[in-house]
Amino acid sequence: MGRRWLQALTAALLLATGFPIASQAHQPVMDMAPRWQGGWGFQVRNEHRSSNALYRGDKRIENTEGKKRTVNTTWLEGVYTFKREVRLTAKIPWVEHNRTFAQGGSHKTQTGSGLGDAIFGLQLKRYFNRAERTANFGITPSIRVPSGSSNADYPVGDGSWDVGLSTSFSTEVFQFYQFYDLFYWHNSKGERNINRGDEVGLDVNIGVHPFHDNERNMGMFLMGDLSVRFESRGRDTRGVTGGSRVSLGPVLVLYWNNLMFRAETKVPVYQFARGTQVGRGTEFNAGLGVTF
Amino acid sequence: MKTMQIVTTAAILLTAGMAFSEADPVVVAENQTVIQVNGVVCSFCAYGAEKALSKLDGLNTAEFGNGVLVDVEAHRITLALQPSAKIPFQEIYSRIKNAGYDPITVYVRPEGKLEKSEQGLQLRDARSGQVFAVLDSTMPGIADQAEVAVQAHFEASLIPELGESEPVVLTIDRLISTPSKAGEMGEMVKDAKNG
Repeated sequence: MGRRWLQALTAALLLATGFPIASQAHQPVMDMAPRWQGGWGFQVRNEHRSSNALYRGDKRIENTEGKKRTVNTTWLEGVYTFKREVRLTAKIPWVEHNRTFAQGGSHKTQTGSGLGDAIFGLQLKRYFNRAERTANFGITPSIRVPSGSSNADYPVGDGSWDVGLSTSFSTEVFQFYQFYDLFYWHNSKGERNINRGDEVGLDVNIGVHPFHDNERNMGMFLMGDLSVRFESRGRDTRGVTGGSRVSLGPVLVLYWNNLMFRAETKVPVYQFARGTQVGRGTEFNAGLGVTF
Repeated sequence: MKTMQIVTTAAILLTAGMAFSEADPVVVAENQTVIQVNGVVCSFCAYGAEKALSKLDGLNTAEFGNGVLVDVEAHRITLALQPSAKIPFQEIYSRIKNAGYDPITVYVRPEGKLEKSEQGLQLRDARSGQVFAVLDSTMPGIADQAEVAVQAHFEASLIPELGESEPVVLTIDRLISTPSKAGEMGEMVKDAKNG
């Protein structure tokens, strides 16, 4: 009994002290399932963000030119579990985005849409099953292939082959869930002089499992999400890229048998832009997944 | 900062009233088998185990929708079996392992005649004909040929080492009906050692 209360108290303290909470924006598909041999699944997930907040360094400055950026990305993500220690993941986005800026005394809007760059990952996991807990360490080498076009005014791809590596840890008891993921992406030089900087990120999800029905096999997770990103200086077709940010937000996960719905919001609480850039804005994210 | 405060407050409220109950002792109902499984804490994650187990032969699919109940609070999987079905321990073990979990203890509830043989004490389930070996020390004072119904368990890690048709060795947890009550199957639950 004492150990359980200690677990509860620790989790509550971590949350109460503002311990980070996360998303899996770069993390292919679901961390939790399928963990069974021969299991597979897919999910469709939409991300939407829009902002007209202009940043120079970490200062928000007046947006006299009326700059704005809207990005809508729909991900199709799939996973296949060879055995619980080895999973292959794939995700490909459909991107629709636009950006507005001042040019020659008027506003100009550039748009781009189409299939973006696909990401493939090989998740290698080590599970630890205990009486009331399951946990796993994971290491995931990934590759991003230039499947997106770099031709539009506002291209959806950069034409480069990029490689990434993430290390993750998740642990779960009936009442609590925690997930930590630290990753690095090396972005190589693409076409049209696009050369985005390398990226380091940390995602953390911590939450509770307040409702579950054994008979109907349904329930809910409520989590908090922390996303931290550092991107070194780079460039795209409009100028300097890179910077850092910290986002926080709530996550709701509902599941019923092999179906899972996930909705989350990421609110930027800190942004730093290299040069002058439109901020990221609040992100809304919803997805529906199924496993077999 | 305001967002942080809202998230923190919500988290504290959500966790403050949360109860942490000790797992209930295992009680195996008639025609059921219960497996204590390490790592089963989320039924979305354990869906693969449920799906694989639901394809076993001999399940009573009228129970639990498909014959399988995953209890993520007690970390147990219960299988409802047809009375005449033999319990396929090897299949159960491998399907749970392949689903990413570790079966620890298997609880069964056979009923039938105790028989002494060269291999030791055995209990043949009257409904399925399945034979179980019984640790003598856990069944004191029960005569050979006695009719009993018991709840018993064995360690799941022994399953892969079992030879074909070799019976599992049960440790008796409790006597559900005493020899003199055989046939009545009253819920006279007694500790087997005090029996």
